[in-house]
Amino acid sequence: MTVWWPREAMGTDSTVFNMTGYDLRALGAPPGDGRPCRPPTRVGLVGSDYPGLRLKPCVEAGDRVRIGDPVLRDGRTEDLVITAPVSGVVEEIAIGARRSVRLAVIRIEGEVRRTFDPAGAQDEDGLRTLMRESGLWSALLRRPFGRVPVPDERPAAILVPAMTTEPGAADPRPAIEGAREDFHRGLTALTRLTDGLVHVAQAPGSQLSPAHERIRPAVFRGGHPVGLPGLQIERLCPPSLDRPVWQIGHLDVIDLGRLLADGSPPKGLRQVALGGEKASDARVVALPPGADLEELALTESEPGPHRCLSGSPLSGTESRFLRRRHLQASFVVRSDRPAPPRHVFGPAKVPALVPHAALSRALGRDLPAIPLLRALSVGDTETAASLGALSLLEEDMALATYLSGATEDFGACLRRILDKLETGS
Amino acid sequence: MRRGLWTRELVGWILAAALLPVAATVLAVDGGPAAIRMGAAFVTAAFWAGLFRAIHGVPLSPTPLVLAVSVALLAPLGLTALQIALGVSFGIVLAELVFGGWGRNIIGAPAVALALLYLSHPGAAPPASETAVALAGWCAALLLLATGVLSMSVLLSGAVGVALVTVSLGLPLSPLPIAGGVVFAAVFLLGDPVAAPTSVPARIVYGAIAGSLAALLAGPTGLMGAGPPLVFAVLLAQVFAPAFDHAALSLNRLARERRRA
Repeated sequence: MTVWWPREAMGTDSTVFNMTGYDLRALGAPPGDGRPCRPPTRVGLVGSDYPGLRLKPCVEAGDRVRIGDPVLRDGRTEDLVITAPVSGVVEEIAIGARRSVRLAVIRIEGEVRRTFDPAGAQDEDGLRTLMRESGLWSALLRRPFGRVPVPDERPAAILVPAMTTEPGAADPRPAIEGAREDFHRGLTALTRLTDGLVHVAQAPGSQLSPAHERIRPAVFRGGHPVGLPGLQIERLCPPSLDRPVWQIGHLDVIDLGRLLADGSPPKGLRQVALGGEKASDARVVALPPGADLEELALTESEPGPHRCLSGSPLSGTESRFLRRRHLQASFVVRSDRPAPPRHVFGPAKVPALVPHAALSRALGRDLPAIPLLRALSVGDTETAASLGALSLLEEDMALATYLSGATEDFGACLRRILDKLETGS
Repeated sequence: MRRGLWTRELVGWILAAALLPVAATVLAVDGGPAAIRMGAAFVTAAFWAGLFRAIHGVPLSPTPLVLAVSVALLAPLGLTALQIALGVSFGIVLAELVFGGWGRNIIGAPAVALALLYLSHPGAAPPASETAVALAGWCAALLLLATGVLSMSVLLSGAVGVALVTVSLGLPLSPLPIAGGVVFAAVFLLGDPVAAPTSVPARIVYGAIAGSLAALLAGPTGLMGAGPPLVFAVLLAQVFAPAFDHAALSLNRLARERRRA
């Protein structure tokens, strides 16, 4: 058996995927390790990081929370909670649309943890309950549609993207290799949630997953967009309406492994890559999830107007707080949208897509980029779904939007199509 | 939102730049008559593009430039400016502007305009193909290939299609790469980024069908200096391009079903 697994782990012929991609180092160089940054004083839990949940507060402003204490819960599932990544005092809870919590801000004070009891997680129900109570359930993202899955859903497969090709992103390998045991334990636990495979997408030359009949390493070789989870899911296990596929970040798998080992709550600090052209010193720093980026910008960005992006300079979203699934923060130049050129004849219609070699590679090898982008741009729901829109989420479209000159936001187009498909209209 | 380099305008300007050497060579070789044909075609096409821009907001495109050079190079000899204007109007309005402009059209405007001119003036021959024009066409092809506007699979499969049929008809191959009309039609009519299919298998079929059809239509006289076979072969292939793409996408769907199983 031992003769087999290294070959399996390094990828048999069927699991190494050579794909061409882009070298986007011009947008952000891979950061080196450096000095620590000034720790933030506040973290924010952003409601839109948990799509599909109707968030209700469990605490009030002024309450004290420990790491792992519930702060928000889903209105429909009592024990599906979002836990505090830091200990401190709840400062603000803002209610947004549909009376769901938009934002919860915690001021960091001390470092007090609660512990969980992992003993009940031997069977699948216990594991699901523990994941919900510890806040790790909300780390799951289901495709199609990109929602936090409902508690009793069984996915056709689970993807753990243990690689990234985003410009300026840090290599996840050191974090995984530093917590190999926990990562393996987390992966093994994930196999209990699905009847299918747990795919671990990884860069060439790494061997991150344990030997297990239902844990499958998939080696992806190439530049951006090869590291995008949507493209990997399209290659490995394309989801459909009745066969959802989940994804979960590698750090959340490590957290799950640690939780199962000794009941400790999800780790407060994550290795986050700081970058962007306005960052004074691009490097990897330890930040809690939800760290206040505007506060960080006071010390880490160069003078002048800037925008704080959670995520890479390419696909990041403007946000005051580091988002739940992001391991990258970018400070970029604030460039106000250029005024549309004034024409004698008034504004023109949105110009149509003109096929081009760069654009046809923007969605990887398996997705037909130009037909799919055309379907998205005209809002053709059926065609888009049949061409693979169900595998994709907004962040997977950032490269296509960028390459086509940002005349159209394909992420927004995709979301409109997904919304239509989800409501069945 | 960040903007990449490859905007629609840039693709348009690259096409315009690639047309420059061809236009200059045509003007240098044929002189005054070519200038009149080119001017008539460009003014007419630009008028319609401007009109649709003003009334319907259809964005401007490089099509008037492509049309002008296509007409100067491939339209039958002996047409008056008015006749050219009629053909060009038909081409740009019905093939492109009524669909919403460049990028939303199905077949290329130059192929339609030239087809109409040939249909209404049967028997007329295009200007003799010059080697200098072919050289300029190759320069344009290099530029378009290097920038990714022209697809290598279309060009290669088109060349293979032409070569196979020409050889099987027992005709010599060697004059074809230095025939101006053939090179221009392959690069700018067949390789039209919008009208060509988008997936690689469909592009190969599209190029091969257009190439072999052109050589077949030309028959024993060969493609040298033959306008109508080139234009009609490209037109037919472009009409079927969405069907080729549809077939290729069905293959893509099958592959996804296999991965899912």
